[in-house]
Order: sequence, then C-alpha cells, then structure tokens
Amino acid sequence: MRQFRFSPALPESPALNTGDALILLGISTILYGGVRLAFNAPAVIAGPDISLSPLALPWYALLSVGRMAAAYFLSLLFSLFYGYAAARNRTARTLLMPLLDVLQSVPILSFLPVVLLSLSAVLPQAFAAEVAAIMLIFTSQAWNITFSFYQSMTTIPHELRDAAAVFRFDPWLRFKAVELPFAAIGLLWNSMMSWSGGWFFLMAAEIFNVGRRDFRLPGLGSYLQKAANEGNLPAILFGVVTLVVVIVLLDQFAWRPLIAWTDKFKVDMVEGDEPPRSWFLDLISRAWLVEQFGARVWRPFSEWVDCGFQRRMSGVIASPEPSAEAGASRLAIGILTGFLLVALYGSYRGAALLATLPGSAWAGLGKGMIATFFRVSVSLMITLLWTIPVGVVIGTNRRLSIVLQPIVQIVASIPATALFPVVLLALLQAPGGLNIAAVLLMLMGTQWYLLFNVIAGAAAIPQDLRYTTDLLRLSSLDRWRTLILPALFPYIITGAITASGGAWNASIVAEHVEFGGQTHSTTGVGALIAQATSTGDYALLLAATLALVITVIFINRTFWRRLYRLAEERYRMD
Amino acid sequence: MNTATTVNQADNLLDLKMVAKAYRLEAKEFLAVRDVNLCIKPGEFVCLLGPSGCGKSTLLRIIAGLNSATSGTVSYHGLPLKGVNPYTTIVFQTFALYPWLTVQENVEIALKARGVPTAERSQRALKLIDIVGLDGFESAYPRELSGGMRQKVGFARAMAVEPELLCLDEPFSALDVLSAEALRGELMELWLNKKIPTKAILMVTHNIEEAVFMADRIVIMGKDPGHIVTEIAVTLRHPRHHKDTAFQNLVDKVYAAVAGQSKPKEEALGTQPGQPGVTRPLPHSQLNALAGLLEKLVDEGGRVDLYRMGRDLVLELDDLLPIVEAGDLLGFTTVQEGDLLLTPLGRAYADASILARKAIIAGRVLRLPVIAWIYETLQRDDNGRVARDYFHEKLEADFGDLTERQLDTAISWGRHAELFAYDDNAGELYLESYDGRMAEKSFALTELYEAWPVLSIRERVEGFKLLQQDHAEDFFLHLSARDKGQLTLALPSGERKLWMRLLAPDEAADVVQEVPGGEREGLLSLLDDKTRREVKGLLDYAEEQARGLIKPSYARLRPHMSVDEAGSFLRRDARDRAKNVYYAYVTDAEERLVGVVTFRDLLTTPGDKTIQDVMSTDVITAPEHLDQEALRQLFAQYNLQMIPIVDSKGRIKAVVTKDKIIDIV
Repeated sequence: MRQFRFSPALPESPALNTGDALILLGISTILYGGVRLAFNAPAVIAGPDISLSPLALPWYALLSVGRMAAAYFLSLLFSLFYGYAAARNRTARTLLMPLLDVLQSVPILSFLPVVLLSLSAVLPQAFAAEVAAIMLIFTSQAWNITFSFYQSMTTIPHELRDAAAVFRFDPWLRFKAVELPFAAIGLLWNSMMSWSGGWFFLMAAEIFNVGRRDFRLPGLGSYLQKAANEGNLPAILFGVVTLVVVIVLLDQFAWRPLIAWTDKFKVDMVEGDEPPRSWFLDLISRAWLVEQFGARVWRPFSEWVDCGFQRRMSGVIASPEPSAEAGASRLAIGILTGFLLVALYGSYRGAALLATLPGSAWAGLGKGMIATFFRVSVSLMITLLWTIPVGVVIGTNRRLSIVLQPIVQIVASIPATALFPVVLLALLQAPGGLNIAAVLLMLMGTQWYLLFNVIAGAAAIPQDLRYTTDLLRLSSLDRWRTLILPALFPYIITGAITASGGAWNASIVAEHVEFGGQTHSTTGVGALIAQATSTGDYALLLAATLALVITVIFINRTFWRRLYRLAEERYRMD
Repeated sequence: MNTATTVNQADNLLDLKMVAKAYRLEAKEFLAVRDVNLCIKPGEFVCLLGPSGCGKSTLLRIIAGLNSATSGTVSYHGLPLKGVNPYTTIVFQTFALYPWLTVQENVEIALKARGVPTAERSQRALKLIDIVGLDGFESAYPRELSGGMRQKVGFARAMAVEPELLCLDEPFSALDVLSAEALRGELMELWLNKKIPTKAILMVTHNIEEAVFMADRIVIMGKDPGHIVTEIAVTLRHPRHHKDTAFQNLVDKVYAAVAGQSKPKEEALGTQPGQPGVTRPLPHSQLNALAGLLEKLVDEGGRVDLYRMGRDLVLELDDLLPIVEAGDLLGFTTVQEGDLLLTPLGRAYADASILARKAIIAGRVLRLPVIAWIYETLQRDDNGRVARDYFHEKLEADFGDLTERQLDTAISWGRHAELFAYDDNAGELYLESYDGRMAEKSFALTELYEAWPVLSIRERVEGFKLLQQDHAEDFFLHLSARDKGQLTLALPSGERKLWMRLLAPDEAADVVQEVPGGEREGLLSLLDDKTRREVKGLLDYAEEQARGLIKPSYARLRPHMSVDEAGSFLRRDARDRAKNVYYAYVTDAEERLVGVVTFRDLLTTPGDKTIQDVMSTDVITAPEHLDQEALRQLFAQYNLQMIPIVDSKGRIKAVVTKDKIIDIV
C-alpha cells in the first residue's frame, strides 16, 4: 500500500505560542457566535421519516454520496485557493499556515451540535441539517488536502519554476502546466484519505439525534440506524451491503482510474516497476467517444481558456519567487487588527456566558474530560497491541499481504459510525454496555490508520537490514528492539496521531445515544455536549466544546508533536 | 578590455558593470559575487569557469533575469535589464523538463507561452526535434529517454524560442561521459555552421577541458566572494582535439589560473570567528581524501601537474580543488603554476603510520582558526561539551547560509584529528579526550613529531625531554628503530636502561642492529637477562640471514609454552616482525626445529595445553643451499605456504614462502 504522510512545517516551539492563542481566541469567538445563534433554535425539531424498504436504498445512497461530493468539491476549491495564497504570498503564509495547523487538530465533530443548533435557528429545518452536514464534512476534508497542495507548491523543484520563468509562462500557464500537475498525486491521495474520513463524519451527521431535537438526515447512515433501532436484521444487512457496494464502486470508477491516470505526473525520472493500472481507465481512454470529445471539445476549449488568460496577463511573467509586497502586508495588518478586535470582543462575551456556569458544572466537565481521555487511551492501547504484530506479519510477508490487503481495505472502508447502531444493538444489554460500545467505536474508527501505517512501515524495512539481523542471530526480543520497533516508529506515530484524533471525535457520538426509544448516556465530555445540546444548556455546550478543543490541541502539541519530531529526526530510514 | 568594445558599446549583446549580488541573513549581508565586469559580443561563445561556490550560476541567473543584481548595471543591447530577460533562454543542468509532458509538448509549451498559434507551434517543434536528432520520440515522455536524449529535448526547447543569447548552465555535467561528448560535438556543429539563429552562447561549467573545447573566451572566476579572476582567449581552430599539444597547454594554463597560487599563510588561514579580519571557510573535503592525494603525490615524486592529477584520479575540478586547498591550508602541499608540490611535512605525513598521522593532523588542524576556536571554546567548558547551536550562531555571522556545511566540515576534521566530536543525540560537540589536558599534551607531542625530521640530535633530545612521561613513552615507541637507537645513545647513560626496557625483544633487536657495532654490547647489557637471551637469539638469525629469497622473520614457539602463552607471544611477534605467519615453528633451547603448529590448531586447542601436545613433529624442511627449482617442486609437492630452511644441525635458519618462489619463477 502506498504511504502518504503529510508533515506540516512544524513551528519551532512545540508548545502553544501567541499565534495559537490568537487562533484559539478566534475559534472561541466563532463558537460563541454559534451558541449565541443557537439561543433561538427551536426546542423541538422533527426528524425525517426513514423508510426501511430496500427500494429506498439507492435513493439514500445517492443522497449520502451527494453530500460527500458537495463537501469534497468545496474542500478542493478551498484547498487550491488557500494553498496557492499561502505558497505564493509570504505575508499570507505567516497567517494561513498556523491557522491551518490548529484547525487540523481540532476535533471537528465537537462543532456539530453548535453548528446544527445555530443553523436551525436561521435556516429551514431540513435545510439546516443538510448544510450542517456538508459543513462538517468540509471541515473534516479540507485541511489535509490544503496541506498537501501547499506542500506541493513549495516543493516544486526550483529548476522547473526557473524554466517556467525563462520561457515566459504567465501565471495561468504556470499553474496549469507546472503547479497543478506537480500537485496532482498528492491531491489525489489526500482526496482519497479525506473521502474515507468524510464517511465517518457524514454518518455521524446523518444520525445525530438528541432529546426532542432530531437532526437526522435521510441517507445510508440514518437507514442503518433505524434498522438497528428496530432490530431489523435484513435491513441492517441491506444497508451494510449497499454501503460497501457504494464504496467499492467509487473505488473502481473514480479512485483507481484517477490513480492510474495521475501516475504520469510523478516527478521521478525512472519508470516504475508496476505502474498502477485501472481497467476502467483503459476502457474509456480507448473509447471513440472520449477521443472525439478530447479532440473536438476539450482541447479547443482549453486552448481558448489559455489564450484568454494570455491576453489578460500579457507581460506578466510568473516570477519564480513568492511575493511579499508592502501593500499586501498593510492589508494583512488591517485584517489582523480587525480580526483581533472581533476575537477579543467575542471571547469577552463568551467568557461572560461561561461565568454563568455553576462550579458543579465545571467539576462535571473535568470528570467528563478525564473519563473520555481514559477511553481514548484505552482504545489506543488496544489498537497498538493488536495492530503492531498483525501489521508486521502482513507487511513482511508478501504473499499474505497480497491476499489480506484488499480484504482489510474493504473492511476498513466501512465507516465506524455507520456500524455503531449495530454495535449498540449487540452490546447495550451487556453490563457497562455503552462504555464498551464507546471504546469499540473509537477502536473501529481508528485502528485502521495504525494498521495501514504499520503494514507500510514493515514493508519499508530494507531487505539488507533484515538479512543483517538474521545473520547476527538476534533473539526475537532483540530483533524487535533493534530493528522492527525503531523502523516502525515514524509510522506508528503518524498512525497514532490520526487515530487519537479520530478517537476524540468518536466520543461525541459514542457517549450519548438514543436507542430503541431510550436515552443511554455515560460519563464523558461527548455525553456532556450531547446533553447540553438536548436541554439547551448553552453555557455548558460552549464550555464543553471549548474544553475539548483546547485539550486535544494541547495534547497534540505537547505530546504527539514531540514524538513526531523525534520520529522525523532519529528514526527515518532515508 | 580592448578599445573597439568601449567605442562601440551598443554592439555588445550584454554588458555587466560592477555587478554585485548580496543576500541578507538576519541583518547581515553576504556577498555572492562582487565587481563583475563582463560583456558578450555577437558571435561569441563564452565560458564562465570556476570552482563550486564561485557564483558562476548566480551570475548566469542575473543575466537571464531570474535574479536581480544588488548593485551595478546589467544592460542588454545597451538598455538596462528589468525582470526576466526576453532574449535569453537557459539549458539547465538537470534538464528541467516537465515529466508529465511529452517531448513534443515540452518543446511546444515554450512556444505556446510566447503566443505562437497551434498549427505553427507543432510544426516548429517537430522541426527542432528533428534537428536535435530525436525524430520518432515526439510522443515519448522524458522518463522514457536517456540522460543525453533528455538534454537534447532541453536544447530543442531552448532553441525553439530562438534566443539571441543561449545560456547553458552546466548542461553536460549530469550526463555520462560518452553522451556528453557526443552532445558537445552536435552543439558545436549547429553553432559553428550557424544552423541556429542564436547570436551568442554563454556556458557555465567547472569542466576545464569542456571550456577549452568549446569556448572562444574563458572567464575564470574565484570564490569568497565570487569574482572574475582573469579571462583567457581561446584561438584554437575548430574542430579542436583533446590530444593536441596546443590544446593540452591551454588546459594546463587554465588549470593554473583556476587553482591559483598558494596564498601567504596569514591570509590563507584568516582569523578566528568573532575576531577582526576575515574568517576563512574550511574547504569542504574529507581528510581521508587528502591522505590519498598525498600518497599519490609521493608516488609521483613530489611534484605533479594538477590537470594530470585530476585526470588520473578521475576527479572533477570541483572535487579536486577543495582537497588541494585543504592540503595547502595544512601545509602539506603548495600550488605553483598549476603544479602541486609536496612539502617536507607532507612527505613526513605520507610516510607516517596511522597513529602518527593522527598526531600530525591534530597539530596541523589546530592552526586553522575555525578549528582552534571550536577547540578552545570546548576547553573552556567545564564538561568539554557545548551545544552545536552555539557554534552555529557564532559562525553564522561569517558564513551565512553556508554555516551548516562549515560546521559539518569542521566536525569531520575535528573527528579525524581526534580533537573533538559531535554527539547527535544531545546536539553537542565534545572534546574527544575525556581528560581535557590530554589533547594539550598531544599538541606538544605532535609538534615534536612534525619537526623531528629536521631537528639535530641535540634538539631531538631536548624536545624529547620536554615530553611528559606517558607521552614520551608513546612517542619513543612510535619512532623508527634507527631513531630509537640514536636517541637512546644520545641520552645520559643512566636513562638509557629505562627506554631499552620498554622495548619488546624483537624491537630491541632491531634497535641494537641499527646502532654502531661498538655500542651494541652496551645496549644489550641494559636489558634484563631473559630479554637479552632472546634478543641475542634474534640477532644471531639476523646476522646469519640469507639474502634475497630467504626471510629472516617467522613465528617461533617453544615446546613447553602453553597455548595461551603462545597466542600472546605470537600476537606481539606477528605485529611487525613475522610477516609470513602461516605456521609457527617450534624450536628447542638450541634453536633446533622440533615441530610445527598451524594457527588452526592454536585456535581450536584449549589454552592450558602445551605446544608439545599440539605440534606436529613431521615437518617438511629444506636444506640450506637448495636451488630454486627444487624449492618450487617442494612447494608444489606438499602444497605448503611456507617452508623452513634448516642447517645440518637441524637449526632453523630462515623460512621461504611460496609467493616469493612464484614471484621469481
């Protein structure tokens, strides 16, 4: 399996700095604004009727995919603009990159209740949930694509840029012929990653339902939830099969052909041993219709666009260096000041709202944080315990990996949130049921990241090192200590960072569920957020969401980032 | 500059006047190039030549308008240049082809950017692809082509826009030798026969032969900061041949100009970081490579043409010059008129043992201000450990963005000389010797070692007496047998015993042999009884040794020794004396050969057994005065590596080895 890691440019100091503090102020302002809007949210929100008929499934599948696609195209557009601005303008970069860095470690799902409540206060009900779902998926998809594009933009070999300047490319031609092709592979892999992450959030958004506020949306997620709710096993089976079929179809008809097609954009000047292939791409690239379309419509059109840009930009030669004009920085200072004022005011109002919260509520919040932290840690431990040995076995054994990889990939592609209702059906009766179910959801959502990373890491251990270890006749303990664990370390850390982020997110849907007409709740910050949403305790909602955001960012910065740096500096193979 | 050009300025395509390029790093300015005056006339092929870091590529980028000059004027056709120069294109060292575009698309896109309509675009592109000889590869992607073919696409693309001034940035250096040679020829053919509308060519290179082969004028640049050293006109007729004497002479001349002359010591060394004056950067080379160069230089008789040296060692100018510079800085070599000369110190170094080399190097590199400064800084620290960042910060004021590399080189040299090293985990440099004073002592030691060959006997004794006891012992043991003997005799007789008793029997025997006959008994009497007996035995062999074939050295054991004792005895004996240790011979008190032991036996037998138990008494021997043919047959018959020669009384006189026999046969 191909390994894709995005390593954001790490700021020098690992702990929180003033920039982060500013950004956090901004986030609290936005949250406060959302909560303020939510004051006017209707107390009762009726959910949609979900039909369990198998005939309704294609329609539901279409709705779910539609939401994903809408959010994805928003993310892509956002990424191109944001990444381009950050890469080409130094002033913009100093502002945009730290912001992105914080945003990508925020537990997105914690925003869901605030967004849902605030939108339902201003938009028609069905529409509000729809927009909220798309916004949520957008926020889950956009950051890594943006990072990838930004990174591509800044790592284009400088001689390719120089050539563009020497041969007088205008900015459009440079974007089209140099920058976008160079970024294509990274964009694609990150898009795929974003899609698989997006399913998780889509399902969570489709089944969000607290108290008398039912924010559910018609789609595959709500179908599965209702089926599980009613204990309708055939419907559960139909739903899961449909989900898997949708994911496989997308893989075969969208991602595989794209992977095969983007192979030509790789920069290394050697032919790969096994270039990625796609039967579908082979089929359509040979088709007469496609050929005609290319020759008669697409090429003239793109020529027309290029010429149009050339006329408008005549004389503008794309400089190989990013720009930092004085005017831009003055504008940036203006924006920054405005932002700061608004953020200060918002934070002040937010603080005022938080001040109304009684001490007991804070104590409860602390307890909830600790409980959720404990759950996240346990799920991460379990994940590490099973994925490392299994991943090493799969990764170092070629035959096994050929057989198992596709199966694992399909199982992993089923979003954990979609199966959560099914898990509940099985576990709720057991003692400590919801607790176990919550940890299980975290596990299901996160273990795959680690497994894939461990497999990739194990497969990347150079053959000569393995032979050397054999020759040295190291005991298996020493072999793990001196070769396997150090070689896997960067991969484990990369996987674990994503996994822990996913686990925190999962807490929002896992700790408080409405199932079979009953409300089940356990101690945890996710449960607190859900309860606050249901009862309209806006101060608590703000406090809990903020606490979760800050905690996760803090853990990322102080713990994970340090390990990541260590992995990058000490344990890299190349 | 001649008068014709000054009168007719506008005739020049390109004019650079007092051009300088500086870059800023944290409020400090660093010069990349300075005071560059250069003009290029139509019809000229000009080469910018210089070692890496001399700013020749920077200059090319300024001319192409990719960078702007910090000061001075750049004018093209007499008009100041603003932005990217529309009259030039560049052929890049790394080709800079877009991997996702086909050959044809790569050429076409240059035309497209200039607004050439579609139909004309493809026609012109195809014609150029044909000219460079890539007909049939139009729809190939660059990764399907060889390096030479890729560069042809690079040329086609550059020529497509018909630039007046074609800039070549080391276009052949990423190609294999044959492709490069072929492509050079093809370019020259296009250029000389005016098949391309290009008016002038400017090529950056560090390959001297290439410059002489192609250029009409070679502009030689030097570094720190980049500047023009001189210009050399090339008036040889085309086609030029590498083997021509005139060609060779010119290459030699250019080499001499590039390599320059050794500078006076103070200027070459510079000052310490933070002190007034210029801090000179260390050349980026490995000291191992310098050792190799010195050995080569010794083989060549101490003086060699740099050009020939580079060719013999298959080293590019960029690789050779830093090594030469290192040799110059350390005082091992000097450069005169394109020749590299070995200094007496360099010869002493090349002849020295590995340990002695380390000692010499330690003393020499400490003369370099940067190394000395690091070393002194480390010594001032109580633990002898200082963070790398500290040095980085201080050096940055002098070296700017080259600091990281400077520090790496300094650490590499410090490690080599065992002065200090770097702990990557802690990010700290630390003194190599655990005891801070150790290195200081070894400093004196190395100074004495450096000076030793040129000191009189009296001076040697004085220097030796200044050494501390443990160092003196080390020093004494590292001297040659001849020097040991001389020194011992020069010492007061009361002290001689101390030094003689330091020596192993074989060493003592060597020393005794080196002193005049009258002194031998005196020295022998200084030894303790046991050693004296052994030394005498060894001396007997030495005196009786046969000349030529027969080797005086072999491994010798006694039957009553334990295997363990034999092992340690052999280790000492085998160190420098017994060169051919295939077997060990066992002799009794009268030195009669009683058996032979293979090393396999010694290794596989428990240490407490005696040699008697292990040895084989059935020894193949040869009588004295056996002729070579008979010896050869004996070797062949028994398939032995070594055969002892015994006299009539069965005493082992010497050994003869198989390779010696075969050599002669």
